[in-house]
Amino acid sequence: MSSPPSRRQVLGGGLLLIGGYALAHGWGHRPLEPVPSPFLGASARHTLGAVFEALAPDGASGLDEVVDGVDRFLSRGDPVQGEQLRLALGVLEHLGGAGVFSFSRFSRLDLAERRAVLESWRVSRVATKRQIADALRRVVLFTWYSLPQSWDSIGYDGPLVGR
Amino acid sequence: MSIQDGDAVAGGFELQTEVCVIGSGAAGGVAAARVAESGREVVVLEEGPHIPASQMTQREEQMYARLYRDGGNQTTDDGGISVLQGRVLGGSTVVNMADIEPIPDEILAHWRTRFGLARWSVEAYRQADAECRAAIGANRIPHTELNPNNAALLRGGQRIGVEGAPFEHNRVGCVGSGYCLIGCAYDAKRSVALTWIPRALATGRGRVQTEARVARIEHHAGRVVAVHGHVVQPSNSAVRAPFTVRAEHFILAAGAIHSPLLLLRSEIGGSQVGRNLSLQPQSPCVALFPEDIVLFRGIPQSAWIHREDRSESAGLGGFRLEGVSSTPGMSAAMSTLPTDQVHRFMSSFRRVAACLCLVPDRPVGRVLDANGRPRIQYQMSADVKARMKQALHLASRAYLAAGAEAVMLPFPDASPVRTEADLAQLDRLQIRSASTPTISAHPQGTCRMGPDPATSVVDLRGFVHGLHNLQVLDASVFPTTASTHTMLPVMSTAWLGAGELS
Repeated sequence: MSSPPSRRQVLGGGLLLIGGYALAHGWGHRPLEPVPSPFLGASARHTLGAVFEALAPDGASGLDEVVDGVDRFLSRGDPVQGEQLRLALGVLEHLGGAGVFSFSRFSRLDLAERRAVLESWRVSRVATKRQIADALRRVVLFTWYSLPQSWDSIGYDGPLVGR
Repeated sequence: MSIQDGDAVAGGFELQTEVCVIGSGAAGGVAAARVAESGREVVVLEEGPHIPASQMTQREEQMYARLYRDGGNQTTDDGGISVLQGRVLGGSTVVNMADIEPIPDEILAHWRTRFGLARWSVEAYRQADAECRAAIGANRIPHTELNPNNAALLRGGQRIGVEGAPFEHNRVGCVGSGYCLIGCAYDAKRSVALTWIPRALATGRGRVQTEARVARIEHHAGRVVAVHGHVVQPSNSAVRAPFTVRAEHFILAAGAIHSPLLLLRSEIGGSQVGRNLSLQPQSPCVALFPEDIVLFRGIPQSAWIHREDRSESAGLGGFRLEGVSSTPGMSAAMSTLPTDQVHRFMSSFRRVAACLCLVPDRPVGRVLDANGRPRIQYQMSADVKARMKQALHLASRAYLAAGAEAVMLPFPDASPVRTEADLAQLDRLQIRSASTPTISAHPQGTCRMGPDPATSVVDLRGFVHGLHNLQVLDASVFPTTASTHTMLPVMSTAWLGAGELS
């Protein structure tokens, strides 16, 4: 009765990364040891940072908080989720910059090109592209707008407990 | 008798009891209380942690992770639908919208005539509803407590001639903080953790063990002997130590995704286990008003418009629209606007209104075992997609009638709707996986109840066919969707099922 995860399952997940980052921060109230060997590795962290820069509002800070949070979660959490994320970032990094006559890694594209790639993948007819772009976009937007430094700009006055 | 967390049994444990309940949500909590009150000793096993109100921080990046299964990350295998379930003492009743609705008479009649569910009558269900309503402090939300978000939906519905009303809910002393989806910091939402679980413990015959994940049900010669599992770390479900609970009777109440998963892993229940999954999909419709709406404050979901179609001979059809709140991160994440427009949209966050379009579906999905994790197969049917579009059409009209400047349909290629003429675009817009944001808060089916073992998993008392001491009493036993919010339907079913032991 047992069956392995499908490729779609591996790549899919509308809230794929939200859970990851959220879980990392969700346990931030507990003492966290340093993470000497991040789960993602330097390359995937670099790609995630490049995605954040492309999707966050102009001038937004918080890149390190996003990347570190995701990495911390993956180093502690469910390995299946970790592999999903690493695979998604790897596919984007290696295929996101591929054109008909040119090739460049996603993270080496300039900001406008990265935005264009993510937007084209988001509305692509290819389900895997949509799933990757959708998941990355969600985690970045979720993360940014859950950070207090974004709240003033949207008129959100934050939690009521502790006031 | 008390609530113990994983630290208290970090080295593992073995227990012998009369009744073991797996899961502490709407089903498990009710069953545990009824069993304990009937004079039996009961042990409740809950995979998630116990999180009291004092730990509800109202921070979404923290609480989704702590309260939800997979941190809110559980999806169908194509990533198209987020299947939201609580993983905490009290289960989804800790994170739900607290709406209380019974299984409609029409659905109970449909279950009786089409699926042979003749044991529990409509009258029995209504008595169970009354017991459960009283236990959780059910009350009707007064019009004066509708926040501007829900009031706008109701007002728009009235202006276009569509029926609507406030919900009944189980909040008592609500302060209107708006954070119901990430846990009530005021104990105003009377979840199972605050009602049924204390009731079970008050008998002196109840014990709750949190952070205990059941992995396998051991059975022999038509009887379940024990359940085996592991004490887990609540942060990442990492295994700490093994445990075994032996009992005379077992009640499985892990929900419509994880109850079948456990049966599959234990090779129990036959070929129907995991089949007939309904998700009752919901997609958002968002509107921008000229004035502040502040949807993130007040009772998040307090009103509905447009009742489902209850004349459908094969179960309910139609759709319903329900106001819904959202926190900033989730609002941005669910948006389908191009990225550059999302930030502009978020700058108007205080003027945003939102509702969910709830579409009762047919049981077309399936839960499989993917090496211990659920693989949720589900494709939205053409009929459901068509009704979702009808729902979005009506929601847009209601918002425009209520005074909205624009309505944003949940499609990446949609244009803002400023007049009813703009709704013509719905004809070309397609609902696609990982494109139109869709959630399910009401998974049902997968351990269908029925008299015939060839077409069902449990009998009319909730006992697994062929096993004399294992009941399943959660939303998985519904033969079709209950076509409404599932808290009260699940509680009443568990009440009736646990009563079979008395």
